Amino acid sequence: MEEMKRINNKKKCSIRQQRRTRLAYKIIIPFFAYIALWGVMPLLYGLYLGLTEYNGLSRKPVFIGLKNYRDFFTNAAYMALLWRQIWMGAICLFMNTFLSFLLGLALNVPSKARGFFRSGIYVPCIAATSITSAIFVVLLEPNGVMNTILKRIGSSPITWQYSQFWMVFWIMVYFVWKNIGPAAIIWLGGLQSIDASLYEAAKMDGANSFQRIRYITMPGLRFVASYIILTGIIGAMQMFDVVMFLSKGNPYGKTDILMYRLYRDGIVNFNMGMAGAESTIIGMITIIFSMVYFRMVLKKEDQNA
Amino acid sequence: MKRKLLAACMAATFAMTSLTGCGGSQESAQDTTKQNAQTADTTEAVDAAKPENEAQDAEKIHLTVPKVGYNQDQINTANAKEGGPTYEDRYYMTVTENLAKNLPDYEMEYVDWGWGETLDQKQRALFAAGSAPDIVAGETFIPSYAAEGLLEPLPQEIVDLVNPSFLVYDNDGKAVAVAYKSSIFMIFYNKALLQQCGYTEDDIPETWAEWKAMSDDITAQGQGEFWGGGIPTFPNAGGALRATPFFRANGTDFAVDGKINLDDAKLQEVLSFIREMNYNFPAGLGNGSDEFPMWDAFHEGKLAFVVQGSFEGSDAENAGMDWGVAPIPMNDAGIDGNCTVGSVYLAVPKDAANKEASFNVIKETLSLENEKVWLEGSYCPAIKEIIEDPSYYENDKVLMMEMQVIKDGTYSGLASFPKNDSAIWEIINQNVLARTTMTEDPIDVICSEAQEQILPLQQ
Repeated sequence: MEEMKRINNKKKCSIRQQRRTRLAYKIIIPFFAYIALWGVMPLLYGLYLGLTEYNGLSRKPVFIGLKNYRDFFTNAAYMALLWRQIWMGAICLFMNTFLSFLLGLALNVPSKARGFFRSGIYVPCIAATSITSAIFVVLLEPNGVMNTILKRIGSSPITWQYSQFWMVFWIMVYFVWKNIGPAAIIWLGGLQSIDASLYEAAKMDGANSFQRIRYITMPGLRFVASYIILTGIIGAMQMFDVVMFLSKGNPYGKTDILMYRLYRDGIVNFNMGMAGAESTIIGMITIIFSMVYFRMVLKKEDQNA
Repeated sequence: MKRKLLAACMAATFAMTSLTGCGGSQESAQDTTKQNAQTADTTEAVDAAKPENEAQDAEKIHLTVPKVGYNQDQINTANAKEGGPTYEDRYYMTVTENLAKNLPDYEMEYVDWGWGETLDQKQRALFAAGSAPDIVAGETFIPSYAAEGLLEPLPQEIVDLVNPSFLVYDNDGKAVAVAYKSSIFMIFYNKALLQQCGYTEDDIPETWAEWKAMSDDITAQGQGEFWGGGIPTFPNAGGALRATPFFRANGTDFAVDGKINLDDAKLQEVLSFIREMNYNFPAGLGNGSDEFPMWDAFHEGKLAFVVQGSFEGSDAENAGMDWGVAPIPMNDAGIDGNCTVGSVYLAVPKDAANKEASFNVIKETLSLENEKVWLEGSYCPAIKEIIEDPSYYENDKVLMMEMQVIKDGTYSGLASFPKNDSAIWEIINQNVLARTTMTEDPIDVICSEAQEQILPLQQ
């Protein structure tokens, strides 16, 4: 009798559990469907397009196998764009990470104006890229503000648009100006989560400021740094709006990068097949970079453990 | 039970949101007004007339058309402009009125899909979706549509109505698109600036050598305050369009039979001339991504010459400057060349649902009453009736010159490439034209490097 009761209870529990599971699926299915519709299907369609030739005019994409990938890797122009995306992205990522860290440190210093500056550095991030970049373009015009300032201080004006160096410089300045705020706030959050007693103890042990940053702050920010660098890698590999708005890839294609080319191949030049292949390639490279970095972080973590 | 209800509610909300989102976006993206729908003064009147109107609408032929007329929003915007509607607004408003009057059985949906790339993207998306609009519009990309065999040949009646310069042909040599207006390039000059430098209108250059000598002299006299001006090399279609007349004058072009032609010595000669003329612009003006600073500089008296379409006449007039106009100087062997600019081509896709009705609409855009409006902006209308009768434009010095050029020979638009047209033009614009004037790199190196980049795109 007891045994029967126990079995019945177990059955009831199991049925209740199944009902709960079914309910859970019912709740999450709409969201999964949403992700599938707007995320997975375009992704799969992009992969498919990469294997086709399609200009948006002919009714159906023509399957051409790996030709787009072969063309990409055998065309020096595409490889130059990929390389430029990597090195320009790396410069932007490094400068943004380094400067936002310094800014995070500065914002961590107790001050009455801290709240004001904390809000202030975030403003560029929420301002529209199309508008703020237009202001940069006006500043850099041959008779723009920058050259007026140069003339006033007795220097020769610079035709910024003719120089790859200067256009990369201004792209980097804009990128950092735009993205430094969120990164600095995340650094600040990390800094404030470090136990203050560690600093006091280190101070009592005679550690100077540099040593406190080196041995307490930096290890304490390891995971915050990982997050900032990982999202930074993804952001740098996706960077294209800055280039599109500031330089349009000029002077004569010297600041052109793969993501901007992908956009143009896709919806300006209507070489949809190549755009599909490019997006797959850049996606794979981003995943590889992220995984390499992630493994490096995990390896270090294992060593520390 | 509550949980089930919650799950059902969430699923329903999700479905509703998605469907509403789709419907809303379609509505706003089209941004249209059905001009021929009978509007009533009051809501009651609308309600009362509803069944009758619905019956009428059901019999009407519905046409979706870009760049033909104005929807109500566009009319309101045009009327709200300071100084009232421009000549361009007046054309579209006149066509809208005349279509409503002359083709009352058509329900016109005037869509505003922008211009250039935006319009091309929208139309290609519709082609790809198998729902081509009744009429497609555009300028530089229409030859690509024609080469793809997507366009229905124009009825002979329309072909006979217009000057051949206003037609685009498909691979079989059939006219498939017609522009209701166009323009060609000329050189506009600032009379006051020329006078200041000791020149009169008798000195206006007729050859490249004369132009270069005069422009060099004005630049030298300007000492950084004003410049002679040269041939723009904007790294976009604006540069290619303005450089093309000079290539054609030298008996060459960027494409020969659809193949890239950058290794042609004659073409490289012209690039050298363009580079020399570029020294008569302040740095960054002749090859900037934005064209407008150049026209502003001309209107502000900082440039003596600009190469621009005939519409510059009305712009210069509005800017209040003392200006003159002359044909593009001939090359030193005495040959001239030109290229159409500012054309708005219309064509009917082969997949269009109402081809006959669409051609009737195109014919209406080419009516005398509508086409006359373009004369106000010194644009050249397409129809022979106007081009061949100087009484329509004898008081307009720009049009007199333009019509003469159009009558003397037929000029086509920018060259086109059968495959990867935009990608190839991008390389020409940035890596050939802009690089020629931004650097001192040898012209033959510039051309051979670009040629190498372009050849794989043509395979």
